[in-house]
Amino acid sequence: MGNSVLKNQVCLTIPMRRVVELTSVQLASIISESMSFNDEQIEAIQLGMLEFCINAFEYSRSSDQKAVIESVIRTNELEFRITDKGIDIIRM
Amino acid sequence: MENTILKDQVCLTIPMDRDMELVAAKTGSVLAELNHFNEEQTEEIQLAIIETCINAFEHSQSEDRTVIVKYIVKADELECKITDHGVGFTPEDQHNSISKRQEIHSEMRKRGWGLEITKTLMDEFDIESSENGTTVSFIKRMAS
Repeated sequence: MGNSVLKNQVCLTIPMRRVVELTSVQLASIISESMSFNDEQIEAIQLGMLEFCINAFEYSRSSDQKAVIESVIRTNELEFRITDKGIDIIRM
Repeated sequence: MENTILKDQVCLTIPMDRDMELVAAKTGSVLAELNHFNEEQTEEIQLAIIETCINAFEHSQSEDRTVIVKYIVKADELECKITDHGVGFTPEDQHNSISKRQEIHSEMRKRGWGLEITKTLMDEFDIESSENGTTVSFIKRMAS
């Protein structure tokens, strides 16, 4: 059974400030736990979230200093989109 | 160190779905811990968020079925603003609801006290409600 994106989307906006990335890691963790991912998968999700957030914080040079984390919950998968309004990667 | 509101605002949008109140509560809990609230205060913040979200889930009749939670982090306090786009309610509605609950049997009294509990646990509490939706705001200050 496919779930609609709107109904099952969680959106978190965080300031690019040291340790606030842990908010997004905990968010990813609790959603993946509620979907019964195993420990190894949850750790991988946490690590991915941590790395991408820190990457955005350190390199995006975003003028609004915010990162948006969208979590799309489907029956058997969890999708994350981490967006910043910084410079594009090629220009880095 | 004083933080500006805009810089330290975290915004979470959740669907009105099972366990989603826990996502909102966990986010509040992490922010409270990062700002050195003690364990008891962090639990109170979590409880207030859970109760307010469940209240919105159960009673707002929101068509978009989403709740927006804003966490505003300052040096010595955490403010939460929990918004739904439901039908809203008046103080009379709330009073009538409480009176009705007091009449029904004791088993049922365990549920439905969300806003009263939140008001008790927090240092400041406010409700703005109209036919376009409701925002419940509360502030928890760090114990000195």
